[in-house]
Amino acid sequence: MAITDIGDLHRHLQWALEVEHATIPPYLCALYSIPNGHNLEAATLMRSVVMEEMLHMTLVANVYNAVGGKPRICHSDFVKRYPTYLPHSSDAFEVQLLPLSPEALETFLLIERPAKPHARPEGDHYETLGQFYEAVEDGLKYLVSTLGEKAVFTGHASRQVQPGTWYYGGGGDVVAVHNLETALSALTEVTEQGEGIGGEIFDNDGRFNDVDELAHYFRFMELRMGRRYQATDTSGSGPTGNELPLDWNVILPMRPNPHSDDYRAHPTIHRQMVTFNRIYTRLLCQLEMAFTGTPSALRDAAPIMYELRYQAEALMHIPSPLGEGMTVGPAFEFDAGAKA
Amino acid sequence: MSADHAPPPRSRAHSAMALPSFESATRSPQRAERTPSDHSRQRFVALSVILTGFDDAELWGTGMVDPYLGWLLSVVGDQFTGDLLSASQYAIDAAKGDEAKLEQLVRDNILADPTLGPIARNLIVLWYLGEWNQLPADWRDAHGASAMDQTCIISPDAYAQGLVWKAIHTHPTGAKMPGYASWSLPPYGVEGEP
Repeated sequence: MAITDIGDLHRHLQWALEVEHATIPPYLCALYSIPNGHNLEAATLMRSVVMEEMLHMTLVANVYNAVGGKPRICHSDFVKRYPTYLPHSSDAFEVQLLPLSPEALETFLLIERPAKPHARPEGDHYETLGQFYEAVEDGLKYLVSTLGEKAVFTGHASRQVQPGTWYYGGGGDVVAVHNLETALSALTEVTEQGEGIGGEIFDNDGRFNDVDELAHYFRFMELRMGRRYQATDTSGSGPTGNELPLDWNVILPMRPNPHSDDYRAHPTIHRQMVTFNRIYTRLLCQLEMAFTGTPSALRDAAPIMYELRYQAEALMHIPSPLGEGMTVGPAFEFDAGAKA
Repeated sequence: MSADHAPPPRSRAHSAMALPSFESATRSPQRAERTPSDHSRQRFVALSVILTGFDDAELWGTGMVDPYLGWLLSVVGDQFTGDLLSASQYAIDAAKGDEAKLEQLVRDNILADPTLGPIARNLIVLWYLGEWNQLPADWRDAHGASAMDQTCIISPDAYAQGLVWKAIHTHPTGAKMPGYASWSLPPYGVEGEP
């Protein structure tokens, strides 16, 4: 068993935050490579996934806080340099920052790929996120059964991001966590939205008001196949519904895996990249504030997210002097100078 | 002012960044009426940097380089657009990196020129407001008038991408969400710029 004491549990929940976050920059690059007003269905789909990844980070932070942990986000260690393996995974595949492309979708499918039936729970070096979260859930249950619920859920309620308060518009509502039942409910939402459960395509979860919502894996499959799932489809049949139109020709051709250092010889571009990195870093630090005792700080995180988006969109339009026919793109680097 | 004043084009001597070829790098979602060549796009950006005071990366970042150059080609035509770009290239080359000299050359050779001056001033307004002003009556009498030469905001993107919003550190009303309660925060871009 991967988790046998509270220290193990804390470590795994910190990893869970890192994993949920590590998916966001690649998904955002795919989203922002779609120019405004184009490929509306694809853009809506990508945005819905990103919104849910943000929800997942918040749900994991609530679980982590409920068991007396302290989420650590505003730190250079929290941010991966792309291309990267998913944190603490079995390193089976690398995740890159790419514009929306068949190659990007292949990786997204790997990230969200459902666990095989009866796959073992796995803590470190997990193969699928489902197995990783199963290990976390097993650990929670084990600790509650051996130590008692009160000894595990020691976090103060004031550290919870409460539903219907500061978290708005983001891929479902949050769950305030204070015992095993609410913790499992929060973690179940994370895995159901990601990979689905038991080969189900739709997550059919009325609790979160996302009626008949596809798990991320199947949403990405729709993009890859250019076709929607319909109600009678199964994971075996693939999507057989309406066409999902996607004009690849308008996608902004971002150069893969941008790094600000690559543009040191091009000061005007470098300045725009550093501006992005500072907005990104401010956002991480604002989120850490929200997840470490000041949930109301989430309110002022949203304006930073908009800044981040507009700066990313600008970088997507700047021609890269390093790649013929390519544009610059956002690097998502931690900038210690921006810590507020 | 005519195109034969200008030496063969070369990269901007005073520029922090010599832009290489950008073939297809900025396929514009707003299909311009005309598809400009890479060479003319680079010269157009070089001119726009001088006229707006924003740098090349900032201008490219708006996504409006192609739409604006395409608009210019459509409204005033190849000849005057070419003359304007050649005049700015000449000024850049002759100034040899001396900013004061460059400004004087642009004032003398472009802004004071009865043909190029009104176009250049319109270009400043276009970049800042996304708006094209109908050229002055004198200009239209002298050079003929395009049916497209009407005062208008040339596209929804042009409004949202107006440099005026960046210059005053705010957002284009109704076009770019700033987020709930953002009014209680310091304006974007005032602090935190490298």
